[in-house]
Amino acid sequence: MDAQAINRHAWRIASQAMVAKGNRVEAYSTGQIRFFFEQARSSGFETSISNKIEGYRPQPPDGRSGNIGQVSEEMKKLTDINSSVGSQVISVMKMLEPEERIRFAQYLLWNVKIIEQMSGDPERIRTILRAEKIDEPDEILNQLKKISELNSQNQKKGQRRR
Amino acid sequence: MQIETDELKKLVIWSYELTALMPSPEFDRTGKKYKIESRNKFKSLPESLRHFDDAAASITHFVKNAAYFLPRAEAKVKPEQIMPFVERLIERVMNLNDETKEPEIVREELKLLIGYANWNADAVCAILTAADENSIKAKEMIKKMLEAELTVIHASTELGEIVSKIEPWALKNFGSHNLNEKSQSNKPIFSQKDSNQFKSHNTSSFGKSNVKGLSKFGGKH
Repeated sequence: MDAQAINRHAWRIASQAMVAKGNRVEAYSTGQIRFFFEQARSSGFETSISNKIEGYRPQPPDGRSGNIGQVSEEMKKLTDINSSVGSQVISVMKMLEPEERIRFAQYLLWNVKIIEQMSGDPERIRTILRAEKIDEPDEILNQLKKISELNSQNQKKGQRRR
Repeated sequence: MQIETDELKKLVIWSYELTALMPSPEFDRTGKKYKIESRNKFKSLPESLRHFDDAAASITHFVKNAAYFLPRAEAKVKPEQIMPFVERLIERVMNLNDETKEPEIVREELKLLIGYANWNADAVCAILTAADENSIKAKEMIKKMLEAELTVIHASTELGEIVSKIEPWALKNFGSHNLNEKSQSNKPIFSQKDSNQFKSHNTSSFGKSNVKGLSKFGGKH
């Protein structure tokens, strides 16, 4: 697979790995994504990533109890993102040679961090995607817009509470 | 491969824009010269352009590398200080990449852009160090350097604009280490408490030569 296509997969999956946490945009779990990166070298990546996906148990945010309705809903959302992102990572990795897998997983990790550093702002990310010549960036940007809107809603809620 | 004169002119002007978005030079007491914090991050940027043989893949790697590594937190430089540089750099990559050019030419132009931005910063640091804490001298030297360079590439009309960006950036921290030293040296050597203790002693036993640090001025031992 050519480098541009690998990068596009890495951006698409990175955008789906993001969540609005409080007033920030963050990866649902940097630990999980780092694990995918670590497994990219191994020929047994499919089994190890599948096991990791199944074993994922998100911690309730802010030390709250996982039994509260809203909290358990948030945790379910994180689990769903983990399953979706993990299975997409496996299916892309299966199409790649070992060296390409490493580059894909590294770019996935970097893209997630770049999105965090750009505060998930779709317009700022658009410039990067253009500089990287990513084809059809709208799928990626629309996903980020959704998260960005959630983020704005969270900020408004926070202001109302104050 | 040849880069046209107009392109070169554009790159030089852009390189000064980028330099002015780097952290301002600060005096390094250890090396006794002006330097830029996170200098190595900027210096190592062109390496990512050589990461792959394929020029297009290298440009992508360069953008990602800049957007990922430059804003990473460091002891003295906060991510938000570096962000304007990152965003302007990416904008410039986008400008160069948007034109219908061979990726190999874009890669060479990016090497020049970053290389020039780093050289500009080095030159300004050398001027500040050589200016011997004289801000008028530093301003004159910076202006002369810019004038000479911009004349060579037929961009003299840009001089005012570039000076207005580079000068405040260069002089932001100029001489501030001396001010700190002076403010410290203005502090009384003895606090009120020490001073009272001092008075209660037989002062005749205190010759200048016994005060630490003054013996080198030739006090009798």
